[in-house]
Amino acid sequence: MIELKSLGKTYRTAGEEITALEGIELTIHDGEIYGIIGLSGAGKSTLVRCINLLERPTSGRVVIDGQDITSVSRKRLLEIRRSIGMIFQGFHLLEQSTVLHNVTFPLEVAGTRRRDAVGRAMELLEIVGLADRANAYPSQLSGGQKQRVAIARALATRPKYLLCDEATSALDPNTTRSILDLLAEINRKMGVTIVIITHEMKVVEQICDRVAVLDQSRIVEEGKVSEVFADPKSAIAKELILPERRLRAKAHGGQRVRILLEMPASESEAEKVTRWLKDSPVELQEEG
Amino acid sequence: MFSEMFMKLWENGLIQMGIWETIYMTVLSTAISYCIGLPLGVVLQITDREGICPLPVFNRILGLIVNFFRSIPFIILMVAMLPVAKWIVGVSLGNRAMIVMLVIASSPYIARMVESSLKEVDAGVIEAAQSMGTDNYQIVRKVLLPEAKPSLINGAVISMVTILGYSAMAATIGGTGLGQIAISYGHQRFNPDVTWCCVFLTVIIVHIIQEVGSRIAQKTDKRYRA
Repeated sequence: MIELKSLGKTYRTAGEEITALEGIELTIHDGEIYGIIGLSGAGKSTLVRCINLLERPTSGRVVIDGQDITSVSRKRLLEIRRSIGMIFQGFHLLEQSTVLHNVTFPLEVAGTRRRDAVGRAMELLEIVGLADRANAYPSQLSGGQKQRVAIARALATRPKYLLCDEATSALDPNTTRSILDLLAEINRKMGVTIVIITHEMKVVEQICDRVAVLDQSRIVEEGKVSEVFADPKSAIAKELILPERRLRAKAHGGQRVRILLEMPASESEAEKVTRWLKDSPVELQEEG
Repeated sequence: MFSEMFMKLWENGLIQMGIWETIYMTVLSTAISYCIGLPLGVVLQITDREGICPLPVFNRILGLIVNFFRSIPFIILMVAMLPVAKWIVGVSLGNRAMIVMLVIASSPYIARMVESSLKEVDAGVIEAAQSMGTDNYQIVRKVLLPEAKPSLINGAVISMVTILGYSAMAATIGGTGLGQIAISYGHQRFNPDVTWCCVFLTVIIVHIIQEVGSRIAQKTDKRYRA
């Protein structure tokens, strides 16, 4: 279980104070896929980096399995990090190493015997479907393949948690779907708890169990995905969810349905909706 | 076609010896300079504000020392460092002393070259390594240096060519090699063909270093393979 307790992060640069996170209260239960969504600049990336202390919070605590990791020794922290895998938007593979070495790397660092490490890495590459590319270099792979290697690498040390920082944001829709399917499978089969940071609604919708909406350094809404999506309370959640949600309902309905569409108040949003309608296979009949 | 002096130098094997001495001084000085410059460059990089082990005050001081040595023109540094050479190798003349000068002059230069190569390593890759529980020593050994390898090799080629240039200057205060032949037999005794021969040979040596080095760097780099 990951618990963030009144977590805050403030950057101090040249006499200026920038608040990245404020009063974050969050509990992520074992076995779930937890989404954290927000616009860019909301503090999502800082939040996920606070979970494994790549960023030190300036206030509050990060409690993992009952242990406050903000106060452990440096050595213990390195051990804890090995139980939390992480993948990134930019993949961040070792460009000068083969796919296989990228996956054995965390094991090598943890002191695993070379033979065992290679065995484990091949097992993981099999799971992500890239066993035949073990000797390729990252530059020879597509974006989706790179992310698969990164996932295999993140899972090498058998972590209990997997943090995903905008892991699908650099990928096309089809690849995004297949990576999300892979993550869901990993969650189901290996019982890895997954935390997903994203700005894309469809990512949360496709695989998350629960979601937190982050806006201007704070969590403004939190709950089961189905509930938050059905009835978003905060302005930002409405903005993120509603237009897409409403239109989606229609697209799924097989028969002729009559739907009253309330146009969003903001002009730019309304324009977005109109544009979407024009491209959609929906017949429009305007009414008063 | 060639002057008498040139023929004499050639027959006595002095030019051949000059080639050998130049190569020997350059290679040895580069090797020793890297033993100092490489760790120094690593320290400069990791203690930087953005590095993995930020120590801003220490970094400032180290940077100032490095810059101090780098800003002294080599010819002046050589003269100033004569006593140091004498203290380290016991003599202030000849190639052994010159190697000391070359090392003193080029280590800070190499440190900066190494630092800039390491700066090219994507911060994201380092962050990924940190997320896996990699300690700083392992990050240097297993991430920074291997990832920067092609750039480090290119840097080494540039450094080597610079050191070769320095080694010729060392002839003015008692070094040997092609520089010394050009100065004392070519310039001072009015045999331009000797000077030009040394220029030509130096150009060839530089070209070989450059070619071989670039090729190794290219071969090592796995980033742009189709």
